[in-house]
Amino acid sequence: MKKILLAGVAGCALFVVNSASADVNVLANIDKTKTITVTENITITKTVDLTAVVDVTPGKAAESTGVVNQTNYGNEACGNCAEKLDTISGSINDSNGIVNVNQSSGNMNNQGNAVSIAWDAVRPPTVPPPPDNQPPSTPGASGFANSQAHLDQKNGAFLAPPTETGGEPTLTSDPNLVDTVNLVFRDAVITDSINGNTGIVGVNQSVGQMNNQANQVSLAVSLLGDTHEGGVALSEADLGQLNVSNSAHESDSAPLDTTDIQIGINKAATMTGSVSNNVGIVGVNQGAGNMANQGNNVSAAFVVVGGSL
Amino acid sequence: MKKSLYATAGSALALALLAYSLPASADVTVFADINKTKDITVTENITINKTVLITATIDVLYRSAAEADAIVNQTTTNHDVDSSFEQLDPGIDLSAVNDFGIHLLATMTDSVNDNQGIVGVNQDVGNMSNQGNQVSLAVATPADGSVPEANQPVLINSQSEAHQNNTNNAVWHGEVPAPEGQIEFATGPNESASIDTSINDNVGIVNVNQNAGNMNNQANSEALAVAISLAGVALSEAALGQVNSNPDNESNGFTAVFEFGVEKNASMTGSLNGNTGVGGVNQAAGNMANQANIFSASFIDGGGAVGLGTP
Repeated sequence: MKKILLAGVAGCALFVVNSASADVNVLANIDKTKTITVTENITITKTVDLTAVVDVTPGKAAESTGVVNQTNYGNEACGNCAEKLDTISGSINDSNGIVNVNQSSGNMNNQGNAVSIAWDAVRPPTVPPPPDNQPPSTPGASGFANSQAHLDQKNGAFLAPPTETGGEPTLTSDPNLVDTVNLVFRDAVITDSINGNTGIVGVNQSVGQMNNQANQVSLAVSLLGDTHEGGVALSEADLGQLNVSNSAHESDSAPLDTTDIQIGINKAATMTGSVSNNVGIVGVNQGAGNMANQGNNVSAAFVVVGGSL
Repeated sequence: MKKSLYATAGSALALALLAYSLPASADVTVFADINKTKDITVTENITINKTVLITATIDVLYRSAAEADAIVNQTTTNHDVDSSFEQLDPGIDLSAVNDFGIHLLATMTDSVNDNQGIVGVNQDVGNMSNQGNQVSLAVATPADGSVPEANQPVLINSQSEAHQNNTNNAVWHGEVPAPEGQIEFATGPNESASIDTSINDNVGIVNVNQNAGNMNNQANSEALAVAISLAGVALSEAALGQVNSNPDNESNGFTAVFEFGVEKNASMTGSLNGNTGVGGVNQAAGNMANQANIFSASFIDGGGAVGLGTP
């Protein structure tokens, strides 16, 4: 009996140790539907530092800065049946140099032309050098030209000065108001004008109300003659135009009866055969409307090797 | 007998143990068609904060540099254009007034042609518009080949950026034929902007803005950095932001643009042809538009072929 039990135990042990195995081939067709929603929030902050070294010491420099600020606020125009006509005809033609024109028969208009030029020329050989007690010029060195033109126009708002306790100027709204009925015409006309000019030309024409108009040119030129050196030219132009909280109420008058004549508001800005064949810099603003900011802003800096004008 | 039983049981147990001690094996082929529908919804919320710090060191010394920046900001906001409140009969029902008779014409004909250089023109017959043309130009002609350092490179950089903001404005226009017995209004559209046979054959930079509408921002801005050199680094960047939102003014009881019977034409015929250089033209007869042409260019010319002369 003891032997049989031992044999049984041994058999069970063998049964536990050995496992069954099978080769199975499975063929399956699986249809799969998958819906994926992905929400990505990506914030990228990129900083690029570029360090450039210009290894020159300018011996000549030209720097020009032009700043124009125009502000138009808190005005009211009630010009019923106030017909107006601005006309430039056969004018501002074939001029040389700098020409600036403002024309306005409207109300509360700011019109400006500003020109700033820094011209660092080369001393001609025939011109004597500076006296001994003056710092000598440095012909042969490199040049530097910097030009900035800043033009700011505000209509219906202004910068209030800081309070007595200090602080920064505060932008304050003070609207303009136009309240008008029945204009048979209000026309701004430029005909056969501003042609064939050479140089810098700025023209503003406004027959409307509360318009800001400006033309600005800032020019810095450094001429280096025969020095053959290089130089640095920097130019910056900034134009800010703000138009806030203005109201234009223009229409027919209320009809008094069925036979009352209805006129309405009739305005035109017309430019014909003009602003052609010019050489140089030309800025033209023409307005027959209300509360417009119009600006032409040019900034240019030149460093010219070989120039001797 | 007892021994026989033991022997039999023992033999059976021995056979069983023998049978279990051998590994079982079988070749089984299973064919199965499984139809499985599985809907998986995966929602991934990914937040990536990336900080890139680039330090570019160019191991050269420049002899010349040119940099031009042009920045434009235009905002027109909180305006209203409608009938004349003050001059209307106080007793009249304002909402019944639908005949404003407004005719605004901006016309440019045979103009802005054959110019050389920089030309900017703004024409406006509308209301509360911002019109701007801007040019920033930096030119450097570096050392030439007759000096030992002649071929030192040049660095030029230009940036032209503009932002236009147009918010909280309201326009109320109405136009219907006059009742029988009254004089008709002038024929034609109410607000018209036309450019005919204009802005042709110019050389250089030409910018034109024309507006017959209301509360429009119009801008042309160019930044150009130019150098004549044999080699160098040119950087240029242009950015334009335009916002037009919430055209609403509750103060007068009307919202956004409320127009009927209003005809508007913006037309350009035989224009903008044969020009050489850079130009931008904006034309508007509508309301609350942001219009801008922004240009930034830095270019280095190795042979003086840009027309600025050979160094």
